[in-house]
Amino acid sequence: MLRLRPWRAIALMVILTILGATSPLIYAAPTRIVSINPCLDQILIEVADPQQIAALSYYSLDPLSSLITDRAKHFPSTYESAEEVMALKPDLVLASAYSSKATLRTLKKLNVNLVLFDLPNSIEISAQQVLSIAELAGHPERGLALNQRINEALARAKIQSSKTPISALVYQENGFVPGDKTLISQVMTLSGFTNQASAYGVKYWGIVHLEDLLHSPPKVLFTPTTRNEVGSWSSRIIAHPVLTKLPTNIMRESPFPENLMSCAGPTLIPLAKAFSAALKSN
Amino acid sequence: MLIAVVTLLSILSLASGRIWIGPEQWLSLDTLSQTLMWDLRLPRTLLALMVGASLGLCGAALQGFTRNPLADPALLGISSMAALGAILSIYLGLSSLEPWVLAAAAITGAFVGIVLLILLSGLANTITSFILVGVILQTLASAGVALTLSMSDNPWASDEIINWLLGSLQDRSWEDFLFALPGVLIGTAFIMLTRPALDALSLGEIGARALGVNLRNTQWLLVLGVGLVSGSCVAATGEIGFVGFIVPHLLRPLVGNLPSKLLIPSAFAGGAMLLAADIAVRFSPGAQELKLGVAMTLIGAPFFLMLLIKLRRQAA
Repeated sequence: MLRLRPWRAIALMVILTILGATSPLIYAAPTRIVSINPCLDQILIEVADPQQIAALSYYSLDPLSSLITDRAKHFPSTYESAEEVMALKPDLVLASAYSSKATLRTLKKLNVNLVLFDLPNSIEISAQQVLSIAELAGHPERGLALNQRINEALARAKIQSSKTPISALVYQENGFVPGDKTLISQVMTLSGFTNQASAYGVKYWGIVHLEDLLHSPPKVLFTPTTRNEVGSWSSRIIAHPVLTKLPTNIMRESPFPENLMSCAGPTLIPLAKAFSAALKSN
Repeated sequence: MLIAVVTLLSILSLASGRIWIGPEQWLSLDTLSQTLMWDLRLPRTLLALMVGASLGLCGAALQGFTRNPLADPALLGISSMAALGAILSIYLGLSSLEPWVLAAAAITGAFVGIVLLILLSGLANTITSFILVGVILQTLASAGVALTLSMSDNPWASDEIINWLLGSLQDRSWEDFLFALPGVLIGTAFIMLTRPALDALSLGEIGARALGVNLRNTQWLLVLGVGLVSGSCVAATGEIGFVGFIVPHLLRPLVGNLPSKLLIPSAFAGGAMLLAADIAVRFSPGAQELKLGVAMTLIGAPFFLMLLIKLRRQAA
């Protein structure tokens, strides 16, 4: 038995007790989280405390692609480069597996606490990602709450969907189209549409040119309310007169907010609502 | 004879695409097919003919003026400069002001290209220096295109680069055709005005001056003409090369060497060639159509090589 002076023994016991009592909190929630992907930003801003967020992505400030521009401008932003990230001395970095390879390689080499997220191709994966980010931020209960809200929104859309689904196609710039195996397609089908993309052989993402589109047109064509880049090829194809010339009983264009088309997580709530609204007006 | 070829090809073009719509069906089309023919295939056919004719004409005129067999708007960097002009106007937001601004910006780019070409290749007008200047302009302009697009916020920027630099007629509309038409018509008029001067130039500069040709005027007419024509075409289709280069060479054995006699046949042959190439790319295997600019390069590069070998043999 060690011979300890009494006060040393008491001090040791106090320290051990405190350590034991706080061991569940050993996972210290990160205090400087940097996200370099606008879709992850949207989840992060819902589940983390503002003081935990060190920076978001610059693209969250673009109203054409982000839903959180008003909230995002209160945070510092990066252009998603490794240099900026390191300068912020983060204790957690959230990135997409499709972020710039060079940036990811550099961050890994510098031993940053980097967590990568793949493109969510289903509602389940999106829900898992929400939970993961909430847990990483130290607030798992907020992740569960957010998933609850998302599921409620999806359920509402499902209830409002009619028995006979209408064929539809999401037609983005350059003729870019999401196929059956994408998340946006799942939400679309849930809301009462069928995805026409399979008629053109598109499974994940693909480009559909106008001749192919005219050959088997969907009943509803969702086109983005466009960027103001008149004349660029990417916007010319969706502004092509052929899309508006078809009689509405064959195909009708339905303008769709562009910032709902690229992200998962909390974006699914307004996305489901928009599809339901489109269903009603068709 | 060329007119017959063009007519035949036009009919073929209207019928071709992912779905074959032969002439026998043309009188009994349903709404969808009507829209397809009228709004997609017809503008595409007319655009192919117009752009092909323009490029053929420009090539013949440039080759006559510079007395250089390698002259062609794309090879000399004029088309790239036009593309640069167009892209700058898009990303500076100017093209959204008025619908014709895009074509005007492409034309301006082409003007700058030709003026630079004339200034830089000026006195040392050997074949090598000419091509060198062309390569410089091409590189500069392509770099400018990439730079502008890399600074843009648009997530589709890299697709945009491909579309401008590789040239295509897919998904074009009547608007693309109609906005290019005025520039092409006016430019063609200017080029046609230079016919006597081009003939005189085949005697050399001194010979031409002796015949009373005002070389300065000819130069500016050509600058305006080629600039207007190639600029308008690039605004509609992106960069397409080699048409202006190949066509005059193919026709010289048939029509003779006199530049003025080459102009109109080059236009027809250029139109026919581009339309034929466009029909061919519509039958590309696989999901994506081959870009027309790429197809022309595949045809043109071997031709270019053959010509260089022939020139080397002549010089040796």
